[in-house]
Parts: sequence; structure tokens; C-alpha cells
Amino acid sequence: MTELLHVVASWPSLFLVVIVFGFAPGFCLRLIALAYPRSDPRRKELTAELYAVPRIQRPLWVAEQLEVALFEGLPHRVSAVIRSRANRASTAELLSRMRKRERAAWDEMVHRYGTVVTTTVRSFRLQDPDALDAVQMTWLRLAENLDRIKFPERLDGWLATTARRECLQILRRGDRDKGERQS
Amino acid sequence: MRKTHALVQVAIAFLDDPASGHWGYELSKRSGVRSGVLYPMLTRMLDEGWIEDRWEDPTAIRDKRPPRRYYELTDEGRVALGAILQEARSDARFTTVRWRWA
Repeated sequence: MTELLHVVASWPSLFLVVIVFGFAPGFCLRLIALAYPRSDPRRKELTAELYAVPRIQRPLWVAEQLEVALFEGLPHRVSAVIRSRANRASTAELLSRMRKRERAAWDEMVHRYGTVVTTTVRSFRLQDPDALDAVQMTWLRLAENLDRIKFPERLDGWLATTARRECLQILRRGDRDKGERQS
Repeated sequence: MRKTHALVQVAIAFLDDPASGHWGYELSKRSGVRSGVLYPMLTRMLDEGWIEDRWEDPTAIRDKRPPRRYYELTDEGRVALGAILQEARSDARFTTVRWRWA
């Protein structure tokens, strides 16, 4: 414990703090803003205001934001995370709600698995309209095959495979069109 | 909200120019309240419905900077802050506050 105190209170660490706060206040502020919940507008507000603060006062101003963020932002952030964990329905539940054509279940599904689909599609570097097509087709395939999903816990793999297949199909179609135009 | 020096000073700053939008750093400069006190206070005022927030239109910005978040008084806020100032004026605690707003 005392060793830790010695490290914290030593000159080099003070020096480091001065350098970090003094020369990279924008970076520090963006880190501090992460303590606010994701939807909190203050995240963007703080970075916008930093540039109005005179350069000399910036380090102190940023230190002050750290203080506010710890007391104001962090508790909200933590409780938001806990709440979303508690409300999180399992994928199997979501699928069964989707079978009953519940719109909210679809939204939740797209929110939860959207990145899997988009990152897979993006890795193929298609043109924008084609990429959108591939994403749409993937979701359509899921809608068609809702009853056939046996392992909900492996849905992300299923979606990635389907997305990949749709992309390949689009690429093949593109090649064929090009071939026809050349002949 | 508890009546503090900071609240009275922010109320003065708001009512100095009640019709237009204010942003955080400008408010803290004009009211002399440090930002660590001001931001939580603004959040509470938003919760009370005394002020409303909006983002600056990014197309209207001339110089290179990100859009600011502006706070505007609502009708309710104008009444509430006016009442606070009215009470504060006769309060012995706030005699040192500079009364700019008549």
C-alpha cells in the first residue's frame, strides 16, 4: 500500500500527469466523456466546448470534467448497463417472438446482430447498392427460415454464412453481366 | 432545487438574455460559476423542464468547430427562475451577488 502511495506521489508521476493533461487535453476529455451513458448528449457537448476554452485553462477545465463525469456520468452509465443486461432476452426468445411477427423483436434482432451482417458484407467490398442488397437479402433469408433455426446460440455464425453466400451470389451475377456485355 | 449562489448566478445569466440560446462555456463565463457545478445544474434544470436543449445547426457554423449544444429557457423556466431571483433579492445571503438583471 505504501509502495503504491510512493509511486502515485512521486515526481515522475506528477510530471506524467502534467504532460498528459497539459498536452493532450482533447484526448483526455474524450476518454472522460466515455463515463457518460452512450446516448447522453454531453459526450459530444464537452468536446465541442473544449475548443472554446482558452488553451492555458484547458488542462484544469478537463480535470474539472473528470470530477463531474465521475459523480454524474458514471453512476448513470453503470445503471444503464445493468438495466440492459437484466432486460436482455435470450436469442431463442427473440426468435420465437419474431415468429409471432412482433415488430419490436425484429428491431432488437437487427440491433443485436446488425454488426455481424454488415461487417461480413463489408469484407467483400461491394458497391454500396450491392452491399445494401446483400444485407437486405440476409435478413430476408432469416425471415424465411425462422422455423429452421435449430441452434439459436449459433445464430451469429448462421447470419455470417448467409451474408457471405448472398455476397458471392451478387459477385457472380456481376461477373456474368460483365461477360455478357463483352461478348 | 436548492437555492445556492451558483443557482442565483446562473439564473441571472439566463435572464440577462432570456430569448436566445446559451451554451455551457459561455454561461459559465458570464455567471462566474465553474463548469463542474454548472453542468450538473443544467442537467437538473433540463429534468425540471426549465430549459430545453438543441444542437447548433452545423451548416450555419462559419469557423472550424463542432456544433454546440444550446440551452433555451422555457416559459416554465422563465417563471421559476424569475421567482428564484425575486426571493433571492430579499435574502441576506445573496447581498454580495452582482445584480445585473433588473
